[in-house]
Amino acid sequence: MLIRQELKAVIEAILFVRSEAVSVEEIARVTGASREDILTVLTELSLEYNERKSGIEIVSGDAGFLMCTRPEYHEYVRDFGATQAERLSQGVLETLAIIAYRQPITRAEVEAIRGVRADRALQSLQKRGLIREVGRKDAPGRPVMYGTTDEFLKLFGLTSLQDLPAVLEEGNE
Amino acid sequence: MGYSVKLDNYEGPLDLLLKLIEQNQVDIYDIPIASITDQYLAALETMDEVDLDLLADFLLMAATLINIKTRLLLPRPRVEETGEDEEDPRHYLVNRLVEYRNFKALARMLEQKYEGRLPRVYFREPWEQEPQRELHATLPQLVQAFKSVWFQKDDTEIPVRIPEGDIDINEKMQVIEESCRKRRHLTLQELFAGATSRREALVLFLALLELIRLGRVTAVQSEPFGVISIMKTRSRQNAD
Repeated sequence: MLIRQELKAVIEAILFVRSEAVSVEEIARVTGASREDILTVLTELSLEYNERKSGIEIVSGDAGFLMCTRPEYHEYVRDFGATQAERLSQGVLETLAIIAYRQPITRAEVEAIRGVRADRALQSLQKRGLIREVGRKDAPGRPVMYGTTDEFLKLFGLTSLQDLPAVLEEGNE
Repeated sequence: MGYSVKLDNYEGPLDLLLKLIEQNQVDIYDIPIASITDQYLAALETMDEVDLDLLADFLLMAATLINIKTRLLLPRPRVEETGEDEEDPRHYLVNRLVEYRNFKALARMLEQKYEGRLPRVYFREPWEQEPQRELHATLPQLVQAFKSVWFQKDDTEIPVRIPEGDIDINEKMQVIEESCRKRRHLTLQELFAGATSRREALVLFLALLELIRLGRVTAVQSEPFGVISIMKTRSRQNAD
């Protein structure tokens, strides 16, 4: 059985090697520690990082915990070359924005907002793994509803959906 | 007023309308419908080649504008009880424009996050475990591997015959790509393990060949007669 300090180090090491979210269950499997202990240690670790303004922070999502860079230093990381080279077309971006803020949302609802058909943009977003089908709407035809994926958050440097830039005022500028 | 606008520069009718409102520097809540409609129609006429769906959307908006213009010309009856004017015929359109404009702004912000012009976090890039001695699998090797799976499949085939739906290659391509995304090392055997019938295995194989042809996945065999792994090709393909 690992002592607390070791458990912390092991979790840190595990988070370090993985580029995807690590679930508490996965950590429990290799460390044999309890869920509660793991969560406590993760919180402690995350606080330590925050206290000393580390270049790394630990964020959590539905899938688990993962490391990312602290937003304060984003310019340096960007200039270092972490920026995406590919460009998203305007139509695809608009469609993605609508889905991100209004999820779960059907194709027809997206189209109503943009005033143009959305099937191609949806297809392209789905192919890239930025959106996925999250269910069906309880409406005639039971249309598919879409939502964003973890891949979306990662690509746009968001730690969670709450991290989306604030919605503008409906109505006045 | 002769603005020359190119329709294919616009995402759609709402985008074009917003642009016209901006160019005319008019209040979005008090759009001079008559002049905006004229400009909108003039823009439609300059259209060379727009795909049919988009054209339909542009025309629908033209009809909406003309409808609003007509209703504005008629005297508006007062609603008896409240003494208030009937709703402004532009109201619905204005709401849609404002909503769309908001989303355009949000899309711009997302783009800035994406490009790192707004504070954001960066995640570790998934590192590809390149095999030590890389040896790209050749087609005969793939076929050989497929055969071995194919003959194994025979034993595991479900005894009950269930009417088979159509197995779609595109769907299987997505399945393969999805599996590659989830697992860094997907072997050919693992890929076929899930197939419940020869038919499905065959479609999976065709889907795999197609993905390799398109350069979306790579098949790698690290030693002759070794296990063939399938991995996602690091792509820079565009969204469109």
